[in-house]
Amino acid sequence: MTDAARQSFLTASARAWRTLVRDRFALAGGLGVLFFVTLAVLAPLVAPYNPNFQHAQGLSAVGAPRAPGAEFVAGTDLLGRDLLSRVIFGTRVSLAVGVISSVIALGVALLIGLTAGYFPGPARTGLLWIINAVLSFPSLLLMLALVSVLPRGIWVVVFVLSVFAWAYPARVVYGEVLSVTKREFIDAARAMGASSGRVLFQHVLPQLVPLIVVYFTLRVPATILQEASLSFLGLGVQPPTASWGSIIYEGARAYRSAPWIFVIPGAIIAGAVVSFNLLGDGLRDAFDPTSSVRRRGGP
Amino acid sequence: MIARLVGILLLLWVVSTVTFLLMFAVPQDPGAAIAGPQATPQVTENIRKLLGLDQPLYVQYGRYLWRLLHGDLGRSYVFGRPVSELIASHLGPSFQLALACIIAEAGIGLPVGILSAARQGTRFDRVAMMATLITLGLPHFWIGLFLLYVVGARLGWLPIGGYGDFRHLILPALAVGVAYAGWYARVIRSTLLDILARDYVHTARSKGLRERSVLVRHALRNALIPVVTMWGLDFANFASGLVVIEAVFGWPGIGAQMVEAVLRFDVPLAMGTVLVGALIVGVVNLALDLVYPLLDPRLRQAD
Repeated sequence: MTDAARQSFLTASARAWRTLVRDRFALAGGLGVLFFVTLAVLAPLVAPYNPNFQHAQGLSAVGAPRAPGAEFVAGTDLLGRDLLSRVIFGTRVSLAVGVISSVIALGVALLIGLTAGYFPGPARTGLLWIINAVLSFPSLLLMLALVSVLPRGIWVVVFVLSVFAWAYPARVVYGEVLSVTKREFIDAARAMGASSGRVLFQHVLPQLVPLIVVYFTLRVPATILQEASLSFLGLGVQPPTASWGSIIYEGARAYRSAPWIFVIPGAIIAGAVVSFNLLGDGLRDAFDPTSSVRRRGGP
Repeated sequence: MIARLVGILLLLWVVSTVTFLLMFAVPQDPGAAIAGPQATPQVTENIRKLLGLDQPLYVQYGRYLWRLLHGDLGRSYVFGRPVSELIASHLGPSFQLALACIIAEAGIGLPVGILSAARQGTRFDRVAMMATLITLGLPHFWIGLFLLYVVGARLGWLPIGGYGDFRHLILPALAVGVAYAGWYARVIRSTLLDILARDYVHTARSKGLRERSVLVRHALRNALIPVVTMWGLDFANFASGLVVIEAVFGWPGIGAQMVEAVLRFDVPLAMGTVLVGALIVGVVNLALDLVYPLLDPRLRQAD
């Protein structure tokens, strides 16, 4: 980036930051995200018990799980394990799956979107064809078909959740690259003899940063919900590992006698998804001063 | 139009090939799966021959495509009946549920969104938008479980799942409706606010029309266009299998059938459900393209 470009980028970032911290919904979302990330990182320190330990006193005399109380704050699950500890450790799994598959999907999207946007000709035609084909796939059906033939586990979940998710952001990146490359400073860089690689990484890529940040923040909660669905079908994270979705899956069998097992992780999912969405919406508004629809009428 | 039809056929071909290859990669041998654990190797071998599983991959693939062109989706390994027949018996419940779900989501979402736009900035608007934010953050199957627990088990007002009369439809449709109504509320609200700032709305107002008339006759009719797209896409997705909700409520739709086929390694049935699902999505999208120009005269001139 030239000094002038860097200066204007920094000014834009500073303005975005000021808008963001003044937006109380975005601020609340950011604090929520911070809370869940801290919880995931510090899980062993915060959780009262080992999440997989089956407490003898965790089940009643007839083998029923304990309701929330003094000893087990959030109650126990069907195997007498401490629900709070499982939810806290599940935060690690659910967040990791959400973040890692979003990073993979966006990485692929950047690579393909940049290539298709910057290099016209057969490469662009071919890539756009692939993007549109993947977008028209019934992705949930194919995700299930994929899960059914692969061994079950966290990495398969990560793979399945990213394998179709790159197509939409790739098209968005493609469109953005097209519009950025029409601007004068790109012509100027080319006229000064910059190579394709230099133009792409020094001049085009920085312009995509806001788009990527916003899309990432909004992609993570969507992935968290998808992981929960897969785990709920028994096709996601496998026991004894806890994720928010797998806890609901295990609790669903006893939804009448022990409702706290499914209610608590569901509420936690909602808290995390809402936090990420608030932060993402706030970031979008902050980066784009023209989109003020949300601020006019609350969240 | 013809390009769209070719597109759908191409998509179906790609999907059928992908599912064929995926199912072929299943580590478990379907011959052994059908024969059961007590079968002698000879019996298993005979079953494999009968199904053509001893043939090379490309022969099996060729035969599969050839039968597909004749509307033959093969025979289920588990049920021993034609796949087309099995799927057909689940299509009815799937379409019923999909219809109930899109009615529920629009029935909840649109009134909320329209009121929010009409009373923009008021307390109602803020509370409604906050509520959509929260419901959009909840997994739809969780809402289903919650409704089952409260309305089905505790209050005992409605049956706790299964297939039957109208009452069995209410809870699953409500679960999906509550989960996705937020999108409808938000889209109709922001589209309406957008339209209310346009010139023809100013014109309508300056003619002295009442606010209600401006909102309903001039703004709402145009604001419904993006909603119709969402409706169509949702209907296609729901009809091609509301996998998780059908699992929660024990609803015998094509989604539940697919999960069962996948878990039991019933290769032809699983491929059939995915293909039929893809077909439903394609056909509904095509129908949407046809309906659009009828709704929006601006699109008619483009042709």
